[in-house]
Amino acid sequence: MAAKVTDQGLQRIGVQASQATSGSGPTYSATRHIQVMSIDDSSVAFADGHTALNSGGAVSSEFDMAFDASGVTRSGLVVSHVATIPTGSGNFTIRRIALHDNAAGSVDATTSTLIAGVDGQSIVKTSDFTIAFTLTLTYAR
Amino acid sequence: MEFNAGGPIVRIEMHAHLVPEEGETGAQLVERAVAAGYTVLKVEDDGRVLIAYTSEEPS
Repeated sequence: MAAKVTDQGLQRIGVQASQATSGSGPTYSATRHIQVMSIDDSSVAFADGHTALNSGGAVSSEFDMAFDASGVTRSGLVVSHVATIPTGSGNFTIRRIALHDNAAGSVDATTSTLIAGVDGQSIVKTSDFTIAFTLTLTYAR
Repeated sequence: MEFNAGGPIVRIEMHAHLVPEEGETGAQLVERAVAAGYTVLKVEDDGRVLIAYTSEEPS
């Protein structure tokens, strides 16, 4: 099991903070902040160079959604992102949870929006349950 | 003067909580969760049930 902030993710964090407008890969955009969480059933471990959920192989089942209203908060050096998956969605064995830098309508398993994620999970979701996922980024020295 | 003397600069953690349905108590959700085969790690004050957690340095 691994937890990974991809190279693309670090670049996105950097260009947004400094509003960098040139260079290959992500450049500053007012609309391209971390704003979506995804879940999927892939057994592929995230790697530094991954840019999309399917970078390491095809994804069978995937669901993504915007964070809950007021679902992004900061406490000290910790930024928390919460997304609540309703009973009717995401009903498969969840193996990876990830963060993306575009709106939900522009995120799927193929889009170059991958920022960071946790893999190696085995969380079975059915229509009997609502599951809230919290992905926390700690910016530590 | 030394900057970033080793160690990670971003750490990721994940928590997964079952959320009570409307009118459901935490105890009722725990009962449902156990019956469904989930491992209950913690029951939060708001009735949510923690079923998975990670804390790992980014690799």
